[in-house]
Amino acid sequence: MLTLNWNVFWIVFNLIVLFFLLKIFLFKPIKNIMDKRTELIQGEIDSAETKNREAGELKDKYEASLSSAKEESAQIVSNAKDRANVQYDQIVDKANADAKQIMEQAHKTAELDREQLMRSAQSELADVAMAAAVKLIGESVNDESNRAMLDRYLAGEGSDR
Amino acid sequence: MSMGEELSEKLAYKMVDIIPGAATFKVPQSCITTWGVMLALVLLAIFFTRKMEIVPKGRQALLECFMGMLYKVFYGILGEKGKRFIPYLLTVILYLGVSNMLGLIGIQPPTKDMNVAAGLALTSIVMVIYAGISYRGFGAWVKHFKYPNAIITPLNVLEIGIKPLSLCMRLYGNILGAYIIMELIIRSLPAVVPLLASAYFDIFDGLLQAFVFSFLTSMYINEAMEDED
Repeated sequence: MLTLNWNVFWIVFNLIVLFFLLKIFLFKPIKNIMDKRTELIQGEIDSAETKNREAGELKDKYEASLSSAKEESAQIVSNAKDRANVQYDQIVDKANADAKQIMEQAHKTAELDREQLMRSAQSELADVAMAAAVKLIGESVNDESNRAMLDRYLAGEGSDR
Repeated sequence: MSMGEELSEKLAYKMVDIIPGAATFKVPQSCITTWGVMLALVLLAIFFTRKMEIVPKGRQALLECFMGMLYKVFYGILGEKGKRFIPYLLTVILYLGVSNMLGLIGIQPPTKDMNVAAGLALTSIVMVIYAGISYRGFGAWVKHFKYPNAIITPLNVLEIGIKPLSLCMRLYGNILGAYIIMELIIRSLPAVVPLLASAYFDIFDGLLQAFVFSFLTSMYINEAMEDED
């Protein structure tokens, strides 16, 4: 009953063997599966976090691009307005300038016409005067010198008028 | 044969042949029982850890729940620094849990053999000493015997013997006592009463002793690794 002898080492030996057997067949498999599970859950959490962060980044980006698009559209509209204004001014200016030019041209033409008319009238007057003088004198004087003299006279007459 | 003779025949220390019938190599009866328990534990372990999956189902969930519970108890006592002793403690509690309940199926529990209890206690005190030396270093471990006061140094030294002795005697005494009482009850009141008594002496006391043994061992290990200011 109360026996204590060297057989005590049988249980020590058995315990050590059992320890290693359980380590191989029980503790290791459980630890492996738990590690795998931890890894999996950690992976899921990590990927969820990454996805969250990415979504946030995308949201920020979209918001930024949206606001920049708004700005851009406003810019485009104002640019278009500016350009339209400039063009409007240009067109009006050009029209004004054209009108002025046309008017000037018209004036000039009118002036020229008048001058021409005057000149032809002068020469005709000289002819008439010469014809009258010829008739009056009765004969044709030196045609060349007379004509020059008459012209000078008429020119002086014309400038006085 | 009288009842007393029968009982002492049952309680006698027996050496048996490894191969029954052939006079080859004799081992204690408890050793054969222990091998049986070991085989049962390994088979159970294989059965429960077969086809383990990430998502636990059925028997795997049961196993994880059970082992997790035991692990938490020891982890709660030992903490991070004593974590590596937990597999040893789990081995002890599983072995004792199964062994102490063998009375249920009419097999003499191996822990009824004092050598087994002594061997377990011896292993435990070796673990405690190893934990102390590996945690403190040999010099500090020797010095810590005079903690908290030099006067009680002899008591601290005695503890090396007292701890395993109390572990051994508590386990051995409980199981032997339970076994004797159960034998007596079975002989005197063979109906119904042994059922109730067995629930207490074999199941409750057996599991309690398994728990107490490993629990105390873990307490001693933790104590050996405690930092004293």
